[in-house]
This record gives sequence, structure tokens and C-alpha cells, in this order.
Amino acid sequence: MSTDPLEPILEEAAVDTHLLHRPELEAIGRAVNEIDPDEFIAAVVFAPGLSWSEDQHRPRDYFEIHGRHWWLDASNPDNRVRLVNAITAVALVHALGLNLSTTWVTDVLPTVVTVRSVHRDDTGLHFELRRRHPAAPLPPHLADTVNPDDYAEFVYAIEQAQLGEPVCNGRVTIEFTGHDAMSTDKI
Amino acid sequence: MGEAMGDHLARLCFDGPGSSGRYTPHAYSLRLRGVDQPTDHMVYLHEVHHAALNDVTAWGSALHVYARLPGDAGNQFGPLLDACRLTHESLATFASVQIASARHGALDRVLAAYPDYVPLHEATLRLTAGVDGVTRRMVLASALARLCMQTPVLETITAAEIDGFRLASVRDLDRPDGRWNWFIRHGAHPLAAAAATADRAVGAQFGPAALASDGPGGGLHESTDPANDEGWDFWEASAYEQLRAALATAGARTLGINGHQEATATLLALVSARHGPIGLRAAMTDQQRRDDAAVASSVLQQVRHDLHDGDRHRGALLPSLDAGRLIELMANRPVIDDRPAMIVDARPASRLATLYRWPGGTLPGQLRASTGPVVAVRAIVDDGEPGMVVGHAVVPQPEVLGALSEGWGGRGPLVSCVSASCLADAGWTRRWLAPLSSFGPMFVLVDVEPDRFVPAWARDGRQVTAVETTVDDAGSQRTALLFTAGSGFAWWLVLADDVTVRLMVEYLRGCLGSRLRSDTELAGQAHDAATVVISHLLATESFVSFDALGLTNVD
Repeated sequence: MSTDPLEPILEEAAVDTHLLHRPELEAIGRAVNEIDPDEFIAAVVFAPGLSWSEDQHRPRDYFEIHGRHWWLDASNPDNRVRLVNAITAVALVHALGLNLSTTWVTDVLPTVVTVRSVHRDDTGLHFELRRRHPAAPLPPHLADTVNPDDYAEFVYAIEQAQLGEPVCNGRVTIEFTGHDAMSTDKI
Repeated sequence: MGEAMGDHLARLCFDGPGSSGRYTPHAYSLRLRGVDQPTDHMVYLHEVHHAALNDVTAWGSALHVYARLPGDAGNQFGPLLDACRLTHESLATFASVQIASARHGALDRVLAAYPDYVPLHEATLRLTAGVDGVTRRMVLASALARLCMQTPVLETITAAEIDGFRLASVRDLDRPDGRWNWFIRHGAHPLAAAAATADRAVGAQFGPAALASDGPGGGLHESTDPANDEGWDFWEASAYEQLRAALATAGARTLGINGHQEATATLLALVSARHGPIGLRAAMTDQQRRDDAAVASSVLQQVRHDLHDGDRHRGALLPSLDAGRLIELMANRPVIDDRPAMIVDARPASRLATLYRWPGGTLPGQLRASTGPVVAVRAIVDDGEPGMVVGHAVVPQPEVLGALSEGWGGRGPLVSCVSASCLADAGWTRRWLAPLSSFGPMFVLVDVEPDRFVPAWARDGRQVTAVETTVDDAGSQRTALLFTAGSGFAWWLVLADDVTVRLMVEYLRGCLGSRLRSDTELAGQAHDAATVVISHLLATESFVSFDALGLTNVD
């Protein structure tokens, strides 16, 4: 990412802390889509940098989708990346009408799309995205969980988005501005 | 049990500061505090709905199978469970709140004590916001959850020959949570449309009566009248088909509402050929699901009541005490009306292994070597470690019972508590039953499914008398059912909560009809003995369940 894309999102959600508990994530989710923030929160909660209150240790897969005893430290660079990916996934799923889960898109997003920037104005949030070219093969760590047909469909949907033609959904605008050639070590 | 089941992640949990529940495809465990009945009912119903959803869907069949596969073959249980948690928890939360509310009124306060589940309930409320009527909303949520779980996963597992299956073989929209999220994204309209379609279909097929039962002045109790069962089943099937058509437009591969049955049979045949019997219960038929006794039996097969706070298993020791020292020990412990009591328990060794946490993690050799059920006097002892443990002073021979009785004299009640699972051992029964009966009033703790003994009573035309009683256990309300068949040798005892007891009564009534008679209270000595044995069990038994001999309807 060439500029930090998280701060405009936090501003849009009126979140002024980097310790993000459920209420803050609900606000962030609603800044991108008004239907239901739970799917977005689920995608974020699987982030590896999640912390738990009272020094509890919870494994990654523990069902805490709706728990309130965790927080995400958004000052951690890895957490910021995961958070931006999840937010972008929500925006993409709704703007492109994808029949895919936010968590699913969050997981595969870095292999297909680069988030170049996010900025905010009176009309809402504007995501500038770049397609990865050529599309990367499915990373080995996702091979057991990501269906190859879903992946191909997602890559196709991204490739069909027209360059330079913003797609609006509520207060979110998505625009693909070009291609990035990325090496796999950035995935 | 597959290895995955030993993992604490492999459960669907309903945790809160009060009562809590755990579901696995094997059974569900309840730790009901007995302090607040609406809470206990909500928790109980929550776990029942996990079981019900798994029992009627393709994804549920897959969970049942992988939960029971041995070794590495069961490793896909976790990914399968992770892919349906949202669907499962949403339905279980919504349905349990709806049903418990019908009896207790609004449960906002109760659910608030389980904050992790509030958003699930709210999201499902939003989904069903365009539908009028409590019953409609609940049946619709059930139809939606079933549709989410009715995916072609079983065909995929069979094609991969079980071991080769990976979640990646199933598309996101053919996974339960992928579907549930799809409906969340599409809001209330698809469900409202499905409800309207179902209303028209039921009105045309059954007339207005069933629908009217969900109108003003109606509600769940009236709607769930058996006379309306067929109508509401048809309503659910109609709504399901409408939701199915909506989902299919997105490219999902959907099944009919019972479209999993053939694929389940095919998969089970393959599993059986590969691994032999895996102990899977037979699925209930549609007819059984409308039979209250059959439903009660199904729930009883799966429920387990934890009686112990903290660790599920009480610690146990095997002290060596002769009759004299045992009498001396027990005589100094007041149990009822400031008097001591001596209770002799009998349990199969295998049951003792599952009931308690023994030193070193294994049942002592002396008990393992036992040729039949173990007879022992229990006492809470302080072994110097944090928490108390249950000491089991073994009664080695039936003759020792006479010595204990004689030495005890008139200090207080003498009672025996034999678990029903002991009675399956004919040789042990011949040796021990008469001496135990002579020792004092005998209670048979029901730890086997009632299908093992009640049908025989029905065939013999025996008259059964049942008494329901509540016990205050240090501020917690427990419910017990005592029943005896004809001039039976003992009182049979179910110790649990009011729901389980009601299910047992429902089962007895279904099997026995007018030959079941209810009394309001036990007379004299039986009452005191029952009080003693119930208090004793609450203090020394780790849990109560009805699977000590396994289940009768498994492969």
C-alpha cells in the first residue's frame, strides 16, 4: 500500500482509538456497509493479532465471532493490513454483488488485489484498487479451505471490473486504476 | 470417538455466567444452576436445537460421521464445524429464546447475561422482521437453517472416499455459513416472500385453522398443538422451497428439505465398509418427530446433566476401610434431621471410570478387575489437594452389607442406590439385589435410556406410579422423578431438571398411557430415603445421563 488507508476509514467511522473492541468494529463495519457488521467482524476476528481481555488465550478458530472480550490493536502493522483487507472485502462483496463471504474474500484478497489508497470526502470512502497481474495461483496455505472454482470466479469478477470506472455502493466507491505486478513474497 | 472430539474446540458452546451448555454430535452437556428457570430453559433448548439441526441435514450428517471416525480420519471434523457455527448458533439462540419466551415472557434480561449471543439473536430478528407471528418466525428460521445445512457435502465426501475430503472441495455458497451470510446480506425480503408463499400454500391445503393459531391470541403453545403439526410442517417445507429457489439463483447447489437421506445412507455404507460400526444413532423419521414420546426419548438419549461446578468430573479415591471404621466415619456426618445416613451405591466399573477423575487418570486396578458392578459407600474426603474428592469404600461381598447394617443400628437411614445399568448384569443381580434390598429402601438411578425397560413394563401391563419432586440444593432448584412399577422392588429415580423430568413423564405416558398414575408426594419412610439419596447424589455423582449402556438405536 502506498499510503496508509486505515486512517480515513477510522475517521469515517468516528473511531478515535487504535484499540478496537466490538463497538469500534461495528462502527467501522457500518461505515462500509449498513446491512450487518457481523460478517465483517467475523473476518477481522480471525486476525492473528487479536488480543483477549483478562489475559485469556483463545486459539484462532475459537468461536468468538460475536464475543466482546477481545480487541484488535490497530497500531500493529499486520493488524492494520488485515483490517484494511477485511474492510475492502466488505466493500467489494457489496459493490460487485459477489456471492462470497467476507471472510473468504479477506483471505484471498492479497493474492488478487492491491489496496493502493483510501480517501474520504463528503460523499464517503473511496477505495483505489489495483488488480494483481497476472493473477496469482492459490497460495498453498489456503489450498485446504478455498475452493478453486470460487477462486477462479473471484479472479474473473475482479478482471471484469472496468479500469477507471468507479462503482458506487452507498457511501463507498471502488475504482480499479491499473495492474500491479507483485512477487509472491508479498502475499 | 474421533480425536477431534477430544479437542475443546470441537463443541458448540453456550457459555455465560450462569447455566451453560455444550453440544457435540455425541451428546449435549448441561450445567444448569437451578436458580433461574427461564435461563435454564433457554440453555436447555439451545442445545436441543443444535442436536435437532444436525439430525435432519446433510452437513449435520457429515458432522456426525467425522465426529466418530477414528484417528486421522476424523480430522476434517473441525473445518466442517467451523463452516457452520454461525448457522448453528443463530438458530439455536433464536429458537431457544422464542420458545422460552412463550412460557416466561420477554427474555431480554436473560439473554443479556450471554452477550456473545445477543448479536446473533438480533441479526435473526432482523432477518425475520417482515414476518408476522412467533411461530412463523421460528419455523422460518428453522427452514433457513436447514437450507443452509442442506448442501451436497455428503456426495462430495463420498466421492473423496472420506479420507480425501477437504473443505476446499465445497464452494463457499454450498457451506452453511456462506449461505447464512448470503441471506443476511439480502435482508428481510427473501424471508418475508417465503413466508407469504407458505401462507398461501397452507391456506390452500389445510384451510385457515393452522395459520390462525399463529395469530393474535395464539402463539407457540397453540400453534404447537399436535393437531397443527402437519400444517406447520407443510408451511416449513413450502417456505424452504421458496428460500431454496432464491438461493439457487446465486448458483448454490441445493437439496430438498429431506434431500440428505439417500446420500447419508450411501456415506454410512461406505463408512461402515471402511471403519465398521461407528455408533451412529438412527435418524428419526418424520412420523417419530411428531410423536412426543419419540422426541422425548431422542432428547433423553443425548442429554447429560453436570452436577459438579468447575471440573466436570469429581476427583475420586479408593480408601481401604473395614466395616467398623466405615461406620465410625459415616456416623459422624449428619445428613437428614441432624441424623447420619449410610448410602450404598452400585455402579458398573466402566461407569465409575467415566464418572470420576481417578488418581493417575485411570480407574484403579481393583475396580478394573471387578467381575461385575462395584458396590461402595461414598464419603466426601479431604485429600489435601484443592477441592474435595469422593472416597469410595468398596463393599467386597454381599455379606458385608449385613455387618454394616448390624453395626449401624438405628443411627439413621440405610439406603441403597443402584444404577439401572447394573441390572443388565444378571449374575451380579442374582448375587446382590436381595442383600441390597434388605439393607434399606432401594433406589434405581436411571442411567440408561428408558427404551431399555419401560416397553417391557408396558407389555406386562404393569401399573406405574410416578411422583415428581423438587429439591432445594444450596439455593439451586433440582427436580427429580421417582416411579415404581407395580409391586416393584425399588423406586426408579431420575435426577435432573424440570425439563428432563417432564420429558421422562412424556415418555412414560406415551408408552404406558392410562397405566401411568401420578402421585403428588411420597409417603413417610420413602420420602426421607428419597431426600437422603438425592442429596447424596447431588454431592457425590459427577453427572447424570442415560447412556451408561450405550444407545439401542445405533449401528
